[in-house]
Amino acid sequence: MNHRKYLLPGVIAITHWLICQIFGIDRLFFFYEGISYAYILVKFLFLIFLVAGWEFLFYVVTKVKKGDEEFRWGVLYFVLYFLFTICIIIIIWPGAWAWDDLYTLLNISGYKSLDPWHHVFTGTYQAILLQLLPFPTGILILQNMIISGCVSFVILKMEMLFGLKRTRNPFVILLKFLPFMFPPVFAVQFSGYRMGIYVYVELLFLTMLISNQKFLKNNSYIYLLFFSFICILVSVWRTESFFYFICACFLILVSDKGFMSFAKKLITIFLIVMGFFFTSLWQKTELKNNDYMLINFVNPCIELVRYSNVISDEKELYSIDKVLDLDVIHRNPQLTGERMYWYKNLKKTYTKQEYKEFLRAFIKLCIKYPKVFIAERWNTFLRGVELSEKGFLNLYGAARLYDDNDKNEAMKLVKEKGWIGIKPISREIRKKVISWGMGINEKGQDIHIYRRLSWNIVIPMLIILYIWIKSLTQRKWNLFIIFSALIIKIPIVFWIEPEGNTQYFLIFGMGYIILSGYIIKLLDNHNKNQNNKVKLN
Amino acid sequence: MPWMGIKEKLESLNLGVGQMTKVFRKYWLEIIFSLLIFNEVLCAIGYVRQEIRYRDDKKMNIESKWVDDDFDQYIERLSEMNEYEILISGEEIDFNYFSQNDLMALQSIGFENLENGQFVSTIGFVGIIREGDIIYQELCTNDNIYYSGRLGNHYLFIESNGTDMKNQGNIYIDDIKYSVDTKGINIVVFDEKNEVIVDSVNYCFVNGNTIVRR
Repeated sequence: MNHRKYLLPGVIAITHWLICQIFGIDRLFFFYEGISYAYILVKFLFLIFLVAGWEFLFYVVTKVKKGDEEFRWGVLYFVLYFLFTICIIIIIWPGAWAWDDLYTLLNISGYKSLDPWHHVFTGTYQAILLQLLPFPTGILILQNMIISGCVSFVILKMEMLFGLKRTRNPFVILLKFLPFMFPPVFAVQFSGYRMGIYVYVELLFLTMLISNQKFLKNNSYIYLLFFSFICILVSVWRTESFFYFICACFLILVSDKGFMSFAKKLITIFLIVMGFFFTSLWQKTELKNNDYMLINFVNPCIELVRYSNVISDEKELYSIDKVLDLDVIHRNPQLTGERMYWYKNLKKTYTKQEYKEFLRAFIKLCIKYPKVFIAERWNTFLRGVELSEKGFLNLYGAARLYDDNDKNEAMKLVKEKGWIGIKPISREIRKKVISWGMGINEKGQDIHIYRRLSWNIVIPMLIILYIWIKSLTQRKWNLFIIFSALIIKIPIVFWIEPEGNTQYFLIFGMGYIILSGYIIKLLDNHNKNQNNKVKLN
Repeated sequence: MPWMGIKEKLESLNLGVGQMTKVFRKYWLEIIFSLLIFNEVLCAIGYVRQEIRYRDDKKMNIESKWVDDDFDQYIERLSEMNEYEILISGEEIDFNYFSQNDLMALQSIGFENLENGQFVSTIGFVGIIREGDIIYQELCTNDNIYYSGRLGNHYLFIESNGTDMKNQGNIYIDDIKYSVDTKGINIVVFDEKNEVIVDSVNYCFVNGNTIVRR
């Protein structure tokens, strides 16, 4: 095995890392004096990030130089998509930051916390990117670079799966890129919300699973390590995605012996299982309490409290009152639970036992008043898939961010930090582009048909459901298991989503990628038939 | 384009009933999902999806049998109704347009805090009468006031404000709004024993006129 080819990029990465530390590049963003555990962790992971990045860059350059057709096309797709996203970033500079993502920046800026509320992965990931480009938009530039890599990989695999002919026809290339401009996904990839990167990592993971029908065809140790890493990221980063970890382990177990030895299977499963449990434990330890789980139940719980009877449900209400202040609930009949949680001191200080009793009481009320619970969840789901008029988009906040009368507290704190590059190039153009993106015209009114169609998640969801059922009827079990892990997210999100937001269903945009693959294949076949006819004539 | 020869292809298929059944058997899943997606597009264009209204299930009936136009007559009627709970929320009450009779009527049922000419600006007011007794009364000028607490088997929440700030002349029973909710005096008459709202009315005093809304 030739180890020398790994040496040069490794040396460059270490030098790069040392230069960053010596010149204190991170101090342009971070304010710190002592050394914390977050500091050490971020610095260490930044070194690994650089080594992986440089190694990958050298690997790609070598492949392209050798004339590898797949890599050459991959680089072309990467460059095209990345240039496009850079143009968008410049137009909406410094990005579509809205609220929570600004707080993540503020929370991580002292190496004192990794912002576990938005998951420690989010804080760690953003802190690593900030080592390289130490300003908020730096995260978005690097994030879109990673996303462009994912997009390029997915398009290449889509071509492989559908047997598509590679062509420089701009119409066909546009058709391949079109699903990656799906407005709900496009909106978050220019923000600091974790879903911006997560949805693409999830897409990458699913593509890796789907594209290898015999599962893990390329089973070098580096590939297995990378696969395990992606699997852990995808399974742990979002609560509703834990099924991916079960699905991946099962597929590895049943994979063909010819493609993977038993030892490799064991090692990969061991890596995934250990990674899953340790990172979950890390997140749980950082969170310190059950507040994050609590907010998932706040909205339905408040509706149940409002519906319940003060006499017959006295016992349950008493248990709920130990965790959520009933007086606050009744004093704010017009507010949702989530709004009260953040703005009205709804939550009390509670013990573990009280939280358990709260959950029991909540479940009892759910069983007693199923209509209220299901109706509340259904309404939230409608908002989440952008079918209801009351859908909530983070972009509303993002568009208003630089208005003179905007009262965004997070942005005020960000401005006080004095970070570089936080002023927009043009406030008006930025606002217009973001507003247009979410389907709002110059007068601030919804462009209904555009908004309902382009932000609609149910249409791609139906495409995914179709493929799931089709894989069952055709007995393609690998595909069926993979899509089951995706489909099972619908009832989980239905049960736990804290607010009606498109973010929780973004991965279903994958339906459009599959649809575009079918359309291009149809066009290909049609052209072939035409050519055959011409030849026959 | 792939759709160019569709007409000829359909004709060549010679679709009879038997053929149609064959096509459906072969493409039943595609047909069902195409129809679902088509329906979704139609819904998106017409935006017909409505959220489920479940709070209304618990809403008590509002009988509204009375039709008094004069405020003082209405208050006089209330003073005789000792079996009911009378809930009042005044929002931006302008005393310049409040007659002496109206004021005296309110004072006669126990709201003695109210005095004409005492206020230079508009006021907010919350009052609760239970079985003929005043259990709560509070005034405000610039700020907001509210009352919250149990009322027998129910939870009561009343809010009010003195100036044109938040439009809060609301009366809620078990988190359901029963007040008409506009400027002036909002009154809800509640029969707790029979679980019925006897009346919900708003008296708005503007430019010397009294507007009644139910």
